[in-house]
Amino acid sequence: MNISSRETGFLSKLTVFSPNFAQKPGFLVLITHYLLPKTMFSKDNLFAISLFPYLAFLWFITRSGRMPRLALIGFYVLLLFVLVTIPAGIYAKQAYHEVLANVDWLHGGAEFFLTLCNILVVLGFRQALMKEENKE
Amino acid sequence: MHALSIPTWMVHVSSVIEWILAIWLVWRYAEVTRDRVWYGLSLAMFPALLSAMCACTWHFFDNPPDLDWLVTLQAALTVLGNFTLCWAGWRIYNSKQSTINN
Repeated sequence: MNISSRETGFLSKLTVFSPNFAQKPGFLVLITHYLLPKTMFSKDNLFAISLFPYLAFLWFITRSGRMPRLALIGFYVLLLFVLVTIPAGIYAKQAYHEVLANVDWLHGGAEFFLTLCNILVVLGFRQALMKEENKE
Repeated sequence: MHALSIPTWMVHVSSVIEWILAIWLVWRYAEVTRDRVWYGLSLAMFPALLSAMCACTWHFFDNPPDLDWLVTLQAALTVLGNFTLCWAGWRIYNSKQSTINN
């Protein structure tokens, strides 16, 4: 049913103002569901592309020497999250024939690294903030 | 809502709350240090929050293939968010050089 609506319902999905946003989000669907996947900007490619500006970000903040230490470590832990999601995604496909998001234990386990990353960023800036406030 | 177990939801929700907290702490840090580059970082962290909202919405509706566009939007916002972070990082890097020169 979903496949057929995807094949035939193209024009009906172009409504900008729609009573049911989830099914007919208009322009967004046109761009993200029909145009982008047909170009080099598929979701997998986009996730891969996003890594390069992030690596540049890491280079800048490391060289600046101004990033609170724990926060810097936290931003690096995000790379660990990326490194974990790649094999986890492949394993989910091979062992379960599913996307990573549908294999709960793999999904939660991989996502945990993102939580860890954010905890470190929060703690790093909390420490730096307390240090600055004590100065005053 | 049941594609994700309770622990997996907790991991997701805590990630989002921590990121909001991080944005707010960086903003506070900018106020206390009176350094503009940290305001930049705080704002640059925003697109990643929107990206996370897309992912959580998709999970909330049990990861339907019909809403795959949400994942593409999430990926696009991740690209945007990492470029804004890169820009903020560049500003932090440059500010180091100007403090040394002064």
